[in-house]
Amino acid sequence: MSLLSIDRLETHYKAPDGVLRAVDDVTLTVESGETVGLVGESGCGKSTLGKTVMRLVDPTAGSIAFRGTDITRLKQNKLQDMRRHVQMIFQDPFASLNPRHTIGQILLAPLTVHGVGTKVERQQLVDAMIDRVGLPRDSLDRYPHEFSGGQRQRIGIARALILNPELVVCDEPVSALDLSIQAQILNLLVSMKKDLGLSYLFISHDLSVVRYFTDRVLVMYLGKIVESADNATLWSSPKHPYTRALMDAVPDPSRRRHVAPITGDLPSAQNIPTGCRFHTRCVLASDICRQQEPEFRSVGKTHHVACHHI
Amino acid sequence: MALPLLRVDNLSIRFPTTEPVSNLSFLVNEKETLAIVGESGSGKSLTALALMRLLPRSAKPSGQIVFAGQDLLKLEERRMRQLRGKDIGMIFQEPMTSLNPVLTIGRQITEVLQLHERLPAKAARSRAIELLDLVRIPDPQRRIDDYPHQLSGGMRQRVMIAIAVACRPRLLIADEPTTALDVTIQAQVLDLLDKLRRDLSMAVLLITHDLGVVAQWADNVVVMYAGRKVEEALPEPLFAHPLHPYTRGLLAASPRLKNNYHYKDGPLTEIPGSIVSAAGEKGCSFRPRCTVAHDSCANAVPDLFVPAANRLVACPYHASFAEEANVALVN
Repeated sequence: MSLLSIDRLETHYKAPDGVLRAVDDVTLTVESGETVGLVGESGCGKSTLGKTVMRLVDPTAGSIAFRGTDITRLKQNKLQDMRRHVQMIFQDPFASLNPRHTIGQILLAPLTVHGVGTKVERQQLVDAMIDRVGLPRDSLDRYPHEFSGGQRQRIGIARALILNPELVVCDEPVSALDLSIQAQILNLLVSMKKDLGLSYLFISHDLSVVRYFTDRVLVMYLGKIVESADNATLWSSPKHPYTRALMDAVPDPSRRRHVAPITGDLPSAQNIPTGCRFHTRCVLASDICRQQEPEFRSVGKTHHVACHHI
Repeated sequence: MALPLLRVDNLSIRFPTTEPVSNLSFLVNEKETLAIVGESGSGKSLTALALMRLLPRSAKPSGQIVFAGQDLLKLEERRMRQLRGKDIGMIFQEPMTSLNPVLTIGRQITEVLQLHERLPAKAARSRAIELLDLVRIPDPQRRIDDYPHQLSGGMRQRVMIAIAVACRPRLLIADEPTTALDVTIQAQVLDLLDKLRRDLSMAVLLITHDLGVVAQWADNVVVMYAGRKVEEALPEPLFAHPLHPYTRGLLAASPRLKNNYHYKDGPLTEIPGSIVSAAGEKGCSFRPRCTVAHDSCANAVPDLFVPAANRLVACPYHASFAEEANVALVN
């Protein structure tokens, strides 16, 4: 049984002039102990997918199961139980910390809400966690604005992990941080994973970070997964033209100037192109691509791709 | 032979209690791209604002900023206004906040042309359409009457570029022009900037935190840390053999540069601490985070050494790193 299994999930938003299909028929699993990367451009629906898993946004169709239990339609009181095991780390650690609460209050809140231990035990857990994420104990009496971006992200991690969850949804956890701080936070997330036996659903637009950090990667385009493979396979033989374009677009210090690998902008999720949704920007696009949506099919042991030309 | 178009000499920017930029000197040659790379707090954006004389009132710049023979810091405001947007163009990180949301993009482009080039309205409009075409906005005749919110992030940045190059500036300052954009769009925008640089014979000052961008689009690189230049080099030698411990740390910390490196192989190299530690530092501002710091590093700000032609490094211990690099080359 997978830790997380998502089946044919759709999350649509109502817009004034139609429906925005942010997540459009996504199927995926996260196994226990696994780090699954979800990559794509802004607007591809990756953050909506993360929020849907957390049930912060309601799905339109499909199902989400955690340890075999369907959580798609759970009511509020049951949801709280579920969230003890599934936590989230956000991109902007400042926007996600209450500016009027001390770090101590922020870390204590999840423990109180879930009725963990006695008052003394809760305080011990908070103290241990602040040590573990590498912040001084006196941080507990201070407010979020007193910390730098990297330190705030450590607080965000501490809050997500204090309930000892099994799955953590990380939505662009290092994108807002300077390069010298990114490595610190990634290393912290890796060592936490080892210590606590965590699984991550790691959402990022940064391929180099995903390459380092994940075991398996899903590439998302306009609400759909277009390619999935284990980390090594994806980087040694990317198949989908979109995956290749994304990889080529990453500036690489070992190569000099290059040609932009992909033209045009991401189309609107309110007006998804017919057939293969990537055909408007694809170098391989042909008639069949404009007419027929490609099937997501197996091309290797762990490798799946949705493209007529593979 | 490249001629200097902009010469910044000992630029310091003082606020009442801090000095976020200290003794910064660099050259931008005609038709070349100089990249200034640094993290938040390095002073790179303030430097850009100082060049445009757009610093907040509380800031006191000193030193010299010589552009095409005149010191911008001494220029009267009226002359500076004529220069801004005409001889020096600028684009910012967030195109949505730098475009006026209640004016069409056509109006925002024609404004510059009418102001600086005294073009009549009709000529300005047709020139604006040409400019939109130049920055590769599809269907410019129709798009010219769009408002900024009707455009995607990448298109907004193209509009910003169209405004900035409307009067064929000799220097374009691009402050993190692609940070808010996706990698696929980033490549398009940077390629466009580079094409315009060649077609319009302008120089570009590219301010960025992204080392990959620097490597691919810059002719020369200045690395800043806590308001000072710590290293300067051509991109190839900089990435092959970084000499300052900060540059070395950045390159080592970057997952992108270790292509086959995976978390199961071990942790990434960290630069400990944060840039906050540089505040009030009497000696080398990187000393509190430096893994090879000596006691003497606390005494005074290190001089800039010249380890090779076209290279500068603000670390007296750079020779030991250069030796390491040579050993690595031999092996």
